[in-house]
Amino acid sequence: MAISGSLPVGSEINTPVSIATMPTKPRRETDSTERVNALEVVVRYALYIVITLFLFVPFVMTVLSSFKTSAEVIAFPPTLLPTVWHPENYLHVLTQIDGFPRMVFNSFFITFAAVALNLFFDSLVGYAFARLEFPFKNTLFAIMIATMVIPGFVFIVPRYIMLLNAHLVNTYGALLVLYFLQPGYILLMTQFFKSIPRDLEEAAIVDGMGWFGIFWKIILPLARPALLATGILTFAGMWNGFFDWLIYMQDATMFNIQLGLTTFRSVYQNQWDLIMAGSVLAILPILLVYLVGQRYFVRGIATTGMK
Amino acid sequence: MAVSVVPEAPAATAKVRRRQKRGGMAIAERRAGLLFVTPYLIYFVVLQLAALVFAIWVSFHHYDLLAVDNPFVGLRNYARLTVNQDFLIAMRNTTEYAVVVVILQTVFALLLAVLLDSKIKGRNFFRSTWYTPSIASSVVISMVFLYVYHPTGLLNSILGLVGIHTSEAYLESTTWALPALMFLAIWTTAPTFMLMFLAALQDIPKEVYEAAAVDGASAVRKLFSITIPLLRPIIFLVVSLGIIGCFQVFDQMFIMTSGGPLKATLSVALLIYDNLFHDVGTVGVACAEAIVLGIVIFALTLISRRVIDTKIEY
Amino acid sequence: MRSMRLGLVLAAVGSVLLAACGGGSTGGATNAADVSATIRAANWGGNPTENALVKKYEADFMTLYPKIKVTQEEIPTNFEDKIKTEMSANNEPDAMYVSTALMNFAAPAGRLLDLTSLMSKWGVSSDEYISTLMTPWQLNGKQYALPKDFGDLVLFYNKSMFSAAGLATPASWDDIKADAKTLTKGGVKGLSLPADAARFDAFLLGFGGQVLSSDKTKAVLNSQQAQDALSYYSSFQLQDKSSALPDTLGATWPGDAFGKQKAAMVIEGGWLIPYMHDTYPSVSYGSIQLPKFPVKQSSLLFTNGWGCSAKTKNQDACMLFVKYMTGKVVQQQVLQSGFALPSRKDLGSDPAITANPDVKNLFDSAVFATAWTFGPHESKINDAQNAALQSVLLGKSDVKTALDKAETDANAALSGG
Repeated sequence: MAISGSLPVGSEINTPVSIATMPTKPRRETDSTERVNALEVVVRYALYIVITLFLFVPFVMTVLSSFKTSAEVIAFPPTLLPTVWHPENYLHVLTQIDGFPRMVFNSFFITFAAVALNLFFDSLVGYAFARLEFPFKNTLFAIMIATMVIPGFVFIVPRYIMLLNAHLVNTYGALLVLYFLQPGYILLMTQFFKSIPRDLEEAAIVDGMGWFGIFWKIILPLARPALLATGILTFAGMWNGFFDWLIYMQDATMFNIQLGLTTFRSVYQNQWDLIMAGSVLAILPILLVYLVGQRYFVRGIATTGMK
Repeated sequence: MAVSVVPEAPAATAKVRRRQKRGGMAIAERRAGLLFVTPYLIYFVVLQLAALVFAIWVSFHHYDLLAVDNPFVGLRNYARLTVNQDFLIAMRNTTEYAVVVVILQTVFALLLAVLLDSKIKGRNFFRSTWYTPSIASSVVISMVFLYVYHPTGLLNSILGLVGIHTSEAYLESTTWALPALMFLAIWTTAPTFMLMFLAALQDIPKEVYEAAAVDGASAVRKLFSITIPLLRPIIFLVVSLGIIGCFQVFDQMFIMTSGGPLKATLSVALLIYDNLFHDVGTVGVACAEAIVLGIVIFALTLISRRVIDTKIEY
Repeated sequence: MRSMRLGLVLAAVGSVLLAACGGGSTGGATNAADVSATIRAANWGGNPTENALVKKYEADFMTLYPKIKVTQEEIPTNFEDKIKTEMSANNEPDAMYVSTALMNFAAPAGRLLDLTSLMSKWGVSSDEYISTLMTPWQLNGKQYALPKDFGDLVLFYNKSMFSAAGLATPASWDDIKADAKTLTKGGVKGLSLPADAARFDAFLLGFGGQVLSSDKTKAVLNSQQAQDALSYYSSFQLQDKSSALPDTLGATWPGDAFGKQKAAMVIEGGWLIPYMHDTYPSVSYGSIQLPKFPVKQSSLLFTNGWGCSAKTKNQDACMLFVKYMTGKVVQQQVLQSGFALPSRKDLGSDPAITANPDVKNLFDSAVFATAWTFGPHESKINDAQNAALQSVLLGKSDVKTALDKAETDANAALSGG
């Protein structure tokens, strides 16, 4: 049994041994500890700010770069703020790529469809691997890992031939077939389901609920943080993908935004200003999804179903 | 089962207990299990099995994608790998890269997630900004890091401030190019794994921490005696996805260094790509390389599962 | 055949192999106006200007031949990877850009259409094109594509830096060497020579060396001539300290270092002109043809052509398309848009060339330049060359050792696989 699964939530009798054996110290609020706490807060914030600088600066630089001229983007040493702001870079991106609105639609359509399909199928399969006993489960799980370890390049040609014969090349179908589920996120869901207490299912079984009902009504609501992670990561992955679009799409009307943006990248004539503006436009939806999504990373969901 | 990587192999006794408890449910459970994994089964048969068999079959041939005749060569493609300097160099580079990156990105991601999970003012701001490396454009990241690693760039400027004066050109140094790419990889992927840890932390019941708080456990103590043990399934997830991703590393080398200088950053995936698309008659070699690499990754995933994802009995 | 079919069957999971698609058959039409077909035409679309031009010319072509419909398939990046994938599934376009890389893997495999007889059928003569630009598309006496444009190498120099130092326009390698030393000051270098065989090989050829033996079966990279060439190439950076790798100058490629005025001279091609115009418009520069090296004058040619799939069912329509896209009308417009140099002799007197000394230098260099292409294994041959350049320029190895290793590695690629 998985460690977290064996933990009856909300009861203190079965707390992990490590906690039970911890020396108990009476807590006393004193002046000295408060002063230590104040220092601790300063140190803590300093740490948070250092990490923020470390992780956030390149993104800020992307946004600032998108308002620079091509030469200033690659100036060395780099400038922080644009010497002259060029908001028209954004206009140029939107007008210079032929059929950009259609590419935006393609990107959104495939991304949303893939997220919906993955949320359902990754969690369904993940649940079976995590919780149900069925024939060949070990073998199948081993196979799933084994297919993830082969570099995907070697699959390109056979997959292309197969999708061509299925008449899916140059259609949305090619990408939906390739990405309706992703073994990596099945693994993610599997690992997450293991930390949901079993008691709930046992109770539902006693109540005579079917397995799909248990999965759909009990388990999925509890797995909201994991679904959120799968959703955000699938969204980012699908949104940023371009190699599959390159291989499987023939007409420019079937391209996504990322593939459209590579048009600005030729070997020597990099239009850096437009690449930057395009990148910011292309990042925005992911950022938005994440900004909305991360607010739901809140504790307590796991315990809402508890009696 | 020796190769079992099944998410959980309950102890025989526990299994028996469950069976007894559930009685007739076992058949329904089996049926449901098979039904639920059917989508993956279809995915595997349609998209992976044929391609995998094809790759294995090709690895025993002198194969070219456009050739009419592709002679069978037995194990020659594999045998040659053992004396192929490029493959050996790439394997060493990739292994070094993977070991360092997997360990550090997992630790860093966990640290970030724990920091973001604590109650602090502006938590949403930190949560939002810390994820951005994972979505910033690779072009921008390349530009930024070209500057960071430049002889008179950011890194050397910072080192200068603390009294270390150097004009090392990191990406052109056979010593530093690989570590430079490792750092870049950790920086971009740790926030992705941070997201997984953050999601997992939400599943740890508050009561467990409250119990520890009553016992007066320090934050560090809580991390090591509650959080990490409870996160084991997710740590395994992050480590195994890290191993899979790192051993197949391609993008950074392709964009930043093309495998140079002097093959110091040549990765196996880069080699496979070249043999697959940029040479003639080497598709068999590429497939052999992919399969050998796959076996290494698979073995390491199994080991990491043994070490990390083991169940703990209380 | 068997092996390929087994592969297909394995991958196809029982479905039927789809033949390359296309429109109606042309039969035995002898009049161009009677040829009717629908053809797919793939171009590398990694540049908005070029992509838009191709689209326009295809529309013009359809107006000229109303019975032929052309479907544009732009491939923004990884052009050869995509075509190779499509070819292995027998789904490649009827007409396509043929890069030298594509030529090298597709022609020996019999996947490009031999245009020789179609050229005479539809009145296209080899003599219309600059002869050095025809050779990259020839194999065993057959012509597999026609050149659509080209780029080659000249020496660009920064005019204001030269006049500030009181230097005249260089006319020989001795001048360049001396000027580079004079112009090297502070963070600025006289020259930026990269560790790139696509620049060095001009020196190699000019010193009388070769990359491959004349029958192209062996690498001959460590000849005395090659050693002399590399010694000379590296002497700027190692002995004179008058050259630096672009990265060291805070640039991604030599042209970028030139634009940033960190290098007073670079050896680059026509692509530098629009780059300077768009990104560094204030830098004033000039160019000279690469001066004669000890043995001969040389430069490298980088060229692209239009060709057809050997599997196309519309050979006549494809040939007419290739003829039009590499013909005078299109190439004149390409030239006037300032985008690329024409591959046709008859455009040499066009004002767009004669009025611009830089363009004229580039166009005129084609006569003594050599196409930079080394057959099916060129990727590994170039890796081997670049490794030698890197190890010498990074001070890791002497010239002879580096070239010995390059020759061994290149020969392994040529014989192995």
